[in-house]
Amino acid sequence: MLAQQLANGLVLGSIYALSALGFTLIFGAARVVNFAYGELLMLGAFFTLTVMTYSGLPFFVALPVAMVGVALLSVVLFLLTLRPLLRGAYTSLHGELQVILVTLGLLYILREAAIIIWGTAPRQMDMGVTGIQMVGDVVMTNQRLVVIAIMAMLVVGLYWLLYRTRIGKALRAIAQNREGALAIGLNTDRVIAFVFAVSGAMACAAGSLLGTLYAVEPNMGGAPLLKAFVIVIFGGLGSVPGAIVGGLAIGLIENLAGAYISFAFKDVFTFILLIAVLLLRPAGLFGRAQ
Amino acid sequence: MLEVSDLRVAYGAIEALHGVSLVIAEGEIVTVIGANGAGKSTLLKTVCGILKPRSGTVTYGGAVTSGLPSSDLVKRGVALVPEGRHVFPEMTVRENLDLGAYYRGSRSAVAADLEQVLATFPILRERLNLPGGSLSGGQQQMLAIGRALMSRPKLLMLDEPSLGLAPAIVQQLGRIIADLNRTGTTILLVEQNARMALKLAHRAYVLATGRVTRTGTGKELLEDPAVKESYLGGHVG
Ligand SMILES: Nc1ncnc2c1ncn2[C@@H]1O[C@H](COP(=O)(O)OP(=O)(O)OP(=O)(O)O)[C@@H](O)[C@H]1O
Ligand SMILES: [Mg+2]
Repeated sequence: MLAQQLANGLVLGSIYALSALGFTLIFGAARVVNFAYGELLMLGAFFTLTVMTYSGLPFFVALPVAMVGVALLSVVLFLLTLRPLLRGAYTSLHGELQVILVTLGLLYILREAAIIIWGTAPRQMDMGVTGIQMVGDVVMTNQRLVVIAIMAMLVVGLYWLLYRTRIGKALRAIAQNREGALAIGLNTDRVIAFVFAVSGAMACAAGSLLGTLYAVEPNMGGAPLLKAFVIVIFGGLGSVPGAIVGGLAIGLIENLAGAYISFAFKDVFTFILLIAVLLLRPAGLFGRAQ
Repeated sequence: MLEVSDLRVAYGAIEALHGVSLVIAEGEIVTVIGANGAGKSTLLKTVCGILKPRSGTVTYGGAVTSGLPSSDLVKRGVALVPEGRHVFPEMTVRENLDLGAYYRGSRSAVAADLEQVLATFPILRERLNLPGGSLSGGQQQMLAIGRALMSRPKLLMLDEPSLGLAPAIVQQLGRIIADLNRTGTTILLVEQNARMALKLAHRAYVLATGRVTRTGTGKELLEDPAVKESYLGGHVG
């Protein structure tokens, strides 16, 4: 029973980690709290489903195509709405409020657009993976194992991007010390656009995986956004390992608390843990004190 | 090489520089001294493209550069060592230095410059694989200077490099700055530690609340009674 709950928690935690990664990257590099992020998850699921429906391609081919699509959309939204604001945003509170309002506005625009295009009815998305695995008395569908595998691949890919590529190093530099990055001319639109692209791709993967486990619908983005928020505060704002560990931890806690204490109150335990972490380590588990 | 004319820079509604003009010729060490909040950092940030002027121009290498992004200025040979060092704390010393060369194409020239920087700051060679954040203040200052040098600047701007450092380290930094200048780098040095800066500098400007109030050779200002009174008179800071 415990092992089973841990396994289930790992699946949920993988998806949470993916959602939190895209969210924390944007915050780390651009200091933007992207309220529209949950809608990118939702659009990602719809993009994948649409590619599958119209081209007949299987999920695993449609997903990368959709990830490119959402990455592009994310960059376009950045260039159209946020770039003009970001220049002034760090010298005045006024600028920061504008950025928040713009991403909130995008949240509603994207959600309503999805309702107009696809309607509100939930849709099924089939990964096309069947069968189960049994280890001892732990039962896992192959589909859920694939979710964990995809998350692991994407995390490896992300680490490669951040640590092995030139633009990834610039991105880490910006996240670690803005002033330092400015001094050596790193904060170009290109680097910030890149982080929006990566974040969009992550959102698409998380949303599509969620869609295969539950359903694809226009209001599916709200809950993951809230979770990403909690995880990123829990793990440390802008921290990549914090998002991964935080995502997995919260997935596990929700499952264990739901199974052993009370399903109805499972979210309460997440927030109790969050408050405890903030009391003990105000910058989050992996965060740096400012 | 650099000409700043009638520069006005504001943060929102509050103007920090009220029409500052100065020139730097190739090969000079020029220093700008001034008290807290005089606008020294604002001046350097505007020269290297981080801040945009409200009016006035910055001309560098014969072209107007105010309005260009800081990446362009770095590519043209202007490097800033920011106040407070601002190294990348979780990246190794090596990665910090590599990032300074972000916009340079030739791998071999970069490798040669890395050798040069490590020869100038041997302590960095010993710490090459340690995170920047683990270095002491003085070592971080050297890393910040090394990082700026990795872009192979023609004009190196240093914002209060002596801040918070032990006197012996400050002396060492002074020698390094003079050496860099001798090997062809033009230097714009901003300091509250006026004595060291004025001794090093060929020429100097005094900045007070956003205006240039005095200018002359380093020697002249060292002996100027008003400068002595305000900036050298054993004041703290
Ligand atoms: N980001 C900012 N937002 C608003 N005002 C600022 C900002 N940065 C500086 N100022 C103001 O601009 C003026 C000049 O500041 P600046 O940092 O250029 O001074 P400084 O000479 O470098 O001082 P210090 O010796 O303390 O470094 C000060 O009055 C300061 O309060
Ligand atoms: Mg300053």
